[in-house]
Amino acid sequence: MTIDQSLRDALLEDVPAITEIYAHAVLNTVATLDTEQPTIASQTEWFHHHDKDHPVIVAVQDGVVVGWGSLSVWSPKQGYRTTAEASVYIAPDHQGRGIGTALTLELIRRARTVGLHVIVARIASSNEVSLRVARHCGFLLVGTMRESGFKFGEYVDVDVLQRLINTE
Amino acid sequence: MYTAESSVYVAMSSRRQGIGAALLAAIEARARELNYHVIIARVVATNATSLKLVRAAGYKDAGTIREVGYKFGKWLDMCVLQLVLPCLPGG
Repeated sequence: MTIDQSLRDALLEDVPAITEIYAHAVLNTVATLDTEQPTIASQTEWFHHHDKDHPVIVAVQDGVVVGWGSLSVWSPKQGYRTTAEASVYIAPDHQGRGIGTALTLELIRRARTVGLHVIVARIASSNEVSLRVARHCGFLLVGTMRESGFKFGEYVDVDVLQRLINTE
Repeated sequence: MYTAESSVYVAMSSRRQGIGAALLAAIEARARELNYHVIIARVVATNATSLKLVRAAGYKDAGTIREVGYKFGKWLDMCVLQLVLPCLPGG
């Protein structure tokens, strides 16, 4: 089975696996500046903030969710409804195998399908792997919000990237 | 406290009197009291008056997100600016 064939929409029953993958990033990395350990309840609430136009997708291997990606609302203001923010997280023992790239490319495809115009990604400047994946998938650096985060005892610079979607 | 976003609006009839600058200065003073480290301002790229105001208040450009908004039949670029305040985390 190729990676592409194992991508699908997330189901409510995937939330525990999504939570576990996210919790690792929360507790150990600056991939997210979340510092509160997520619970199945909090991730279920997050899951319900997504819909047809703001999908959550998962990468599945041998029946196990090994990564997930989402397009979330960028702003509740209606003038921003054509913009979404992308998130991609991979289980630690499945990183470095192209799953993040596959999920990101699928999010771009979904964004095009639902008529989004821009995908924004916020990535810590020190997170070289995620920055490389985003750039490889056509995201361009907008700029850096210097020291706008704080985690593990230090300020974190956050890069803002964007991918314009060709809706033609 | 680490990062907050500032917003300033002035009534049409009271513009060009320094009220926006005074509000921005008051916001910065409050942010310093509250020990914020970064203030972010997001300004539509065509809004030259607001951009001039926040730059004059010391905000530095952090980048422009192209076509991130859509209003009145036009795509809108958004400038992200930031003011870094000299505070210590937890201090």
